[in-house]
Amino acid sequence: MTGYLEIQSSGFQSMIQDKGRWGFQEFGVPICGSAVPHWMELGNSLVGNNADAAGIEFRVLGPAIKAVDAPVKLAICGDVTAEVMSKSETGTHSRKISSWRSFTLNPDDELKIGNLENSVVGFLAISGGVQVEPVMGSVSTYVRSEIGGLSGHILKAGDKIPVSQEGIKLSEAADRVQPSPPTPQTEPIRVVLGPQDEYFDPEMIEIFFSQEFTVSKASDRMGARLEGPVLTHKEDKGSGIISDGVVPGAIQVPGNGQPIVLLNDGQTVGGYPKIATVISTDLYRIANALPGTVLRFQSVSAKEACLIARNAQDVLERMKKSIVAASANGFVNIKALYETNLIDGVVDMAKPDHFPGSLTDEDA
Amino acid sequence: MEYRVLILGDRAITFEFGAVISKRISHHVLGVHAQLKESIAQGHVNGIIESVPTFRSLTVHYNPLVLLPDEVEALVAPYIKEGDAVSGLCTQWSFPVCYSGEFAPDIEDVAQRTGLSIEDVIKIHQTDVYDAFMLGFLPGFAFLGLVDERLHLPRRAEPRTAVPRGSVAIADQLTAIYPTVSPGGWNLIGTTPIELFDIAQKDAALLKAGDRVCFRAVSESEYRKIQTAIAAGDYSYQNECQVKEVA
Repeated sequence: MTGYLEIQSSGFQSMIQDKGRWGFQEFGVPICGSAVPHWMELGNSLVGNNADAAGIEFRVLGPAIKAVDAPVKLAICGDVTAEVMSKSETGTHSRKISSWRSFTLNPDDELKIGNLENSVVGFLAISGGVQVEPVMGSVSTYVRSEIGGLSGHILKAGDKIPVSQEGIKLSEAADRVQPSPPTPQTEPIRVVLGPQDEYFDPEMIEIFFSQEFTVSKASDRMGARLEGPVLTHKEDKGSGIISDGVVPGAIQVPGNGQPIVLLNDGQTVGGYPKIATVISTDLYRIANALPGTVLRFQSVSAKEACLIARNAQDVLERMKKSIVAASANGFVNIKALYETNLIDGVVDMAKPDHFPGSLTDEDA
Repeated sequence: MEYRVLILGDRAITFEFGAVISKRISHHVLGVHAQLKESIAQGHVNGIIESVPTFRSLTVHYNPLVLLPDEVEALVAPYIKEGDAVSGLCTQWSFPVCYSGEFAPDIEDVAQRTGLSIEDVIKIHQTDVYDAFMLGFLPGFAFLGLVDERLHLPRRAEPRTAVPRGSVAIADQLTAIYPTVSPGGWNLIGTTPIELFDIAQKDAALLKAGDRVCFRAVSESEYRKIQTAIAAGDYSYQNECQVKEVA
């Protein structure tokens, strides 16, 4: 049996993403990859995949997708309404689909995903991943150079995504649910100062950390533009540097003083001073921030940021372990939930490094 | 060699070797990069993912779940000491460029602003062999230099929204080829039919940092001929390159 998923409508912007294309930045190839990597891992866990299997990342409005000739197990990550339309002898039936819960899309069933709430990005995990040829070790779509995904393009109606034998086999498994999905975070975005903070007077650094910035509409997978107080460069330094390496999360300040946070599709090098760098754990929050979202920044050291990343990975592993079989009525199996050692929350107050109020100045 | 350590969040550290664009500093950066890359390939530096050479620094990307910043610094430091032992060979390319008509939209403007004749602009641009200092901006986009002082011009005041693929451009002390259509602000003085980024090739990016590039003028008809041959898969890139000793 072979089958595929056929895109009926692409929503606002849907594309294939995985963990990203690593090892080619020296040739100017951006990392790309899912803007919500921990959601991707949870979704893959729900459908029985390896953590880094590719799926469909969608923005703002989700796609409509039909299963053709074979069943597949899917899971939606993100706060969004969705329904599956099934045809039978008695007509077309619709059933509501919850996020953070796997379900089987049978042949000729059509999944319709609606508008995201509380986030810009959502992720659709697909059992067996996406069967397309990797480019430089990844199937992540990079539209600007037309590589990865399906011919490097945003998905469009009529596109066919082959389903693997493994994916079909996984569709037979029981549905599973993540009982405590990730919740929106409102704490300040944590950043590591620099590497070009010397381009700004201490008063400007103080403004950067004490004032609010608003996410602009002019944001995409390459970068998020922020609007707020103008961050003036030191007169003798100016707003240009000899181009050097960057990472997703680097906060560039061009001549107009309005910061740009580089995201996964951002360039590999840049010529603007970088006042600070968003830590890897908090970067998805920038990618996911709706236009108009108000942000504040908080300083941590690079070492603290690494420890925060490790703690976040531990929390993610615990969340994956807390995934349980969904009961037939679609609700969480409470007994199974209590039997798993579920620990909710992102900070461990017992460890000073993990509690924002206890940050030390070491390495700052 | 003296260097500064610049912290890029929890995923990268930049090792900076100087304050200017120079062949000497670039040579050192590329030496450290080559050796670190070899060690990564052999699995000797667990937790270091890749390194990216730029004009005067090397950015080392690492996995924060495996390494802490101090550990990255300690791992990279020995490579910096050995950095000058770079291979004595480099690849030198000779790319055909059509410098006329629609292929060179800014060449008259460049001639006017530099006070040179169009013929001189073409001649000067072709005279030098350029170093590929680094890649970036776009996949396969190499920053080539240094350009003769007589051709130094700033970027255009109004950047184009779509610079055509293959455009040969100059800005300040650098020259480059746009591998794909892209927004861009450099001055366009010619076009090459050569594919600078092609995922059908074993190495998608034709150029790598440390390569050398020179340009040779071709007529519009020769440009078309090469373009047709490339499209048909009948063009050997070996014609354009030779391996040279690094001076």
